[in-house]
Formats: sequence, C-alpha cells, structure tokens
Amino acid sequence: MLPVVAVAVFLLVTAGVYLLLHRSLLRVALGLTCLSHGVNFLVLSAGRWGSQAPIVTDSVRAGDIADPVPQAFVLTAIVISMAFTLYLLAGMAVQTLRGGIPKLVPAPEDDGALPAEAILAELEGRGEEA
Amino acid sequence: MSLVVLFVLPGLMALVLWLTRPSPRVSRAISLTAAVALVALAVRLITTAADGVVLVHAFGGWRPPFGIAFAADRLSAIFVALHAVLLLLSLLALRPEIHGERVAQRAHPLLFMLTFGLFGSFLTADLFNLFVMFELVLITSYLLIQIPGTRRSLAGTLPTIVVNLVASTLFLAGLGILYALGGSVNAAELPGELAQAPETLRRVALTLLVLAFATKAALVPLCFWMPATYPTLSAPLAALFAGIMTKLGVYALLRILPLLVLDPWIVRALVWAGGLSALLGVLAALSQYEVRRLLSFHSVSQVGYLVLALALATPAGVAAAIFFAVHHSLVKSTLYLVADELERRNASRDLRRMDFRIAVSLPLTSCFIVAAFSLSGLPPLSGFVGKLGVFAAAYASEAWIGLTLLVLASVFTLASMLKIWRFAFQQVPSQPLGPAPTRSGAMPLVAAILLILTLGFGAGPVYDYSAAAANALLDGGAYRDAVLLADGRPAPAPRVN
Repeated sequence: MLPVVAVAVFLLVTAGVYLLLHRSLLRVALGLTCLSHGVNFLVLSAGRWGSQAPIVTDSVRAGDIADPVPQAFVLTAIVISMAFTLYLLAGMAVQTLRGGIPKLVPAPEDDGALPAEAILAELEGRGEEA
Repeated sequence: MSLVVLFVLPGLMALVLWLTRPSPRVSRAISLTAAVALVALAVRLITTAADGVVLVHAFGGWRPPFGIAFAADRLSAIFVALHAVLLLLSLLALRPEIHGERVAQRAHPLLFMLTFGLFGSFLTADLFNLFVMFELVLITSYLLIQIPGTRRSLAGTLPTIVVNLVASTLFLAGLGILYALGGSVNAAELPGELAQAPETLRRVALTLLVLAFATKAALVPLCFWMPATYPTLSAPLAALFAGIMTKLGVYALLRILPLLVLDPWIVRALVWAGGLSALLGVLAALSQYEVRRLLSFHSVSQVGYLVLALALATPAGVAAAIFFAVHHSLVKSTLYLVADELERRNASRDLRRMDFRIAVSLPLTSCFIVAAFSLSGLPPLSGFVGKLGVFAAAYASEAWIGLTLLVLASVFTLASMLKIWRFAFQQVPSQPLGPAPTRSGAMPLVAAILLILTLGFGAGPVYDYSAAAANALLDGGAYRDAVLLADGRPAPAPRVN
C-alpha cells in the first residue's frame, strides 16, 4: 500500500506545484487543491494503515487496527482547504463579474500619480468598491 | 478556567457583533469595553505566569497525550498580553468618522475573530491545533484586508492567500512526518519523543515547519507577500497586523525551538536567514518612497533580528528575542499610526509629495521622533535595550557574520528613518498648500508613545521576565510536566478488576 501512496503523493504534489506557478487564478486554485490532497495522503500515511476500524472488540486483532489520529487530522485539513478553495473561487467570481480577468497580480504601487481625492477617499474608507 | 474565558470571550464578541450589527458608535463602545476586559484578563494571566505557574486547561477533561490542552507559560502569556494591548490601541485608532463607517462596522467583529484565532495560537500546546488556529487567523486576516473593497485591496489579498496557503500546506506536511516519527503532535511531548528519531526524516519535517513559519514571519526570501499587502490595509488594521501578525510566525518558531535545537543544521540556517533578512529588508526599505511600504520592508528587517536571536538558542538570545518582539510590535504599530496621519494630512502616500508645513505639529513630530529613535535603537528607548540584548547574545555565541550583518542593518535603519524625516518633516514642495487636512485623534498615538517610553525606562522587569521565559522554554521541564499532567490532578490510578 505504502509505495502506491508514495507515488500518489509525488504525482499530486508535482501537479500542484506546476499549476501553482501559473498566473491564471483558476490554475492556481486547482494547484492548491492538488497540493493539499498530496499532503493529505502524506499525513494519512504517517499513521498505520490498517484494515479494521479503530474499535476494539474481541474479534479484532490489535495489529489490524488503523491509526485514527491522522484520519482526524486529514478530515480537518480537507474541510479547511475546501473552505479556502471556495474563498478563492468566490474572489475569482467577483473579479470576473466586474470585467477583470482573474489573475494573480501584485497590488499597484502608488507612484504619486494618483489624485489626492482618490487617496483620501481610500484612506477614509469611502473608496469605490472594485 | 481563565484560559477558557480568555479564549472564548473574543469568539463570542465576534458572533454578537456580527449577528446584531449595531450602529458604528455602539459597536465601537462594545468593542472597546471588551478589549479593556481582555487586557485585564491578559494582565492577570501574565502576573500568574510571572510566578512560574503554567496554567493548563485540558478540553473535555481529556489529558494529553489523548486530548488537546491549552497551556499558558510565560512565553504564551506575554504574547497574549501584547496582542490584547495592540487590539485596544487599534480599536482606539479605528474611528468610524475618520476611517469610514463601512470599514469600522465590518472590522469590529473580524478583529475579535482574529483575536480568537491569535489567542488560540498562543495558548495551545498542540501543534495540530496550532495549524487550525493559523488557518482561522489567515481567513480572518484575508477578510480584514478586503474590507476597503477597492481594486487595490483585492489585488493585495489574492497573492497573500496563495502564499500563506502553500505555507500552511507545508506546515501540515511537516506535522504529518513529525507524527510518524514521534507519535504525537504535542509541543510538550515531542522534544523527548524526537530525540531518538532518525536524523534525515526529522530534518525534513523540521525544515517544512520552519519554511511555513518563516513565511508567516516574512523572513527573507519568503517575505514578499507582506510588503505587497500591508500598504493596502486600512491604517489602524495595518498597525495591528504589523504589530502582531509577523510575531505569530516568530512565536511558532519559539514554541518549537526545543525541537529545532535537536538539529544544529536548521538552527544555523535560521541564523543566516535572520542576518540576511535584517540587512536585505532594510536595504529594500531604503529604496521605497511609499511610507507604509517602507515600513513593511522594515518589519522584514526587524524580524531578522528576532529570528537570529532566537536561533542562537542560548538563554540570552531567546530572552533578547522575546523582549525585542514586544518592543518591535509597539514601535511598529506606532509608526504605522504616524504614517496614517502623514498620508491623511498630505493626501498622498508618496514621500516625495509630502509637505512639511502640513506634517509638522508638536504631537506628531515628537511621536515620530520617539518611535523612529526607538526603532533605530538609540538609548534610552526600548530599541536600545532590545538591540543591545541581541548584539550581546550574538557576541557571546560568536556568531560574527550574523553580528556584522545586524550592525550594518542597524546603521541603515537609522538612515531609512532619516529618509522619512527628510521628506515628510523637512521638504517644501513647489506646489501651493493643498486643502485643509483631516486629522485623526491623537489619543492612541499618545498612548502608544507612553507605552514605548515605559518599556524603555522600565526595561528591567520586562527583560527579567523575558529571561525567565527563555530559561523555562529552553529547559522545557515545567511546561512538559504541567501539560502532561493537566489540571494538576494526579494521573488516575489503574483500575483493578
């Protein structure tokens, strides 16, 4: 089992890093998903892979029981990464609806060319919603 | 019990403020009251911790290694108190009539959610719990960054999310390997469990953790998301972020320091990263003309001092790092508030367009001088004590290259403060005087300056406290005993059937 998981982790992380290096936000979101699933497999393999649920009864041998702790970790991590993916996608949707192309670009630097009114409006929280 | 109150109160406040949506004025009153209560609770926590007591709360009564415990030793307590004070300052500075009602109304519940996550991070003894708290802090801080809703703030948010998410993923991967090696993710239990672990795998796990925390702390070369984001924040929020968010990464590095010292290679790499951050950060700051961007790069530089000091892993180094963290949080927050005032009065973010006739007034000028001198490390202000501690620790550990880098960085720090002085407080542009400026209240600034002066002149007790915290952290015995025997109750006797 472990070699299969190792290959899966390798493939997912490779795909994740490749996608992350793009500017298009959709690819970046997919890349983050791949990366986090790769890491989830890694964490899952930290505990013992067992064939039995971790409930001790007379018929279950201790050696067959799967380690429940990494499973709990991964469950939490999946929920968190899904929330973040949704958040990224929502940000993209907002950008698309307003006519922009969802891309990763740094915030524009203020080179002193902006009119004073615009800067004051932003500082006073009256800035135009993008 | 007080740990639970301290942790749950901000969460409850966030929910109440978010669900009831009071008017900005009422919301501000409620927030300020709650923040004062938090400061009081934090002060009580710090006085308890100063006696060497480690308060522990095991959730649901499940003692580690089975359950999750919160523990407050001196290190946790001082960071909790630091955040409580900064929260109060930034709430004082965030005024609906100045920074906009929309900003204030959106920010209040989020600030308490942020506090909830930060207190959780500082108090938890469980590294996986720390990961969850990190995510909570991150998602709240993204929402806070987006509050202005402008194109600029949206553009500032997305790269930050992506970079920090990658860092969190690395953190999780490191935790997985640590669990495989040590069979636990408890900060108190792991150092003992990992001492015998295979070296290579342990190094991989610790490197992943260090990369994650160094990204959060904005250490060179993982720092570039921060100066791209902080200038887009609303000013009082930027002051809070600059004060505490990078310190979260530093706190996490301090918390796992007993693990890091197991691997001399990692500690040495951190010393280098710290020294290079200190120098490169300040050089980048020198080249900026946007005030807040300049200050952001400055944070990179100052975090370098902190990380170098803690990576020396000597009691003197760690003590200096803790003291420096407190000093830098207060001073950097103050400088952000001064920057806000400068930007507002000049209606410009660019130093080259500032006009001394607007900026110069006795309160603002003296606030800037005190904060800038403290940051540069001139006696008798707090920065002098902090830097002296870091330099002395580096000298004692014979980290000559690191020490050289820090001294160089220190010179450039003064130069970059002089740059702000030269433009904002001395320059007379050719254009005529602009429209009458809006001013924000001076109260938070004065309060912050008083705190800095107190920390400078009363450095003795704080430094003693830091030294005690450093000794306890490196020794680890008291923390381990307290966490693993949570609630102080003896372990239940084995049941005899």
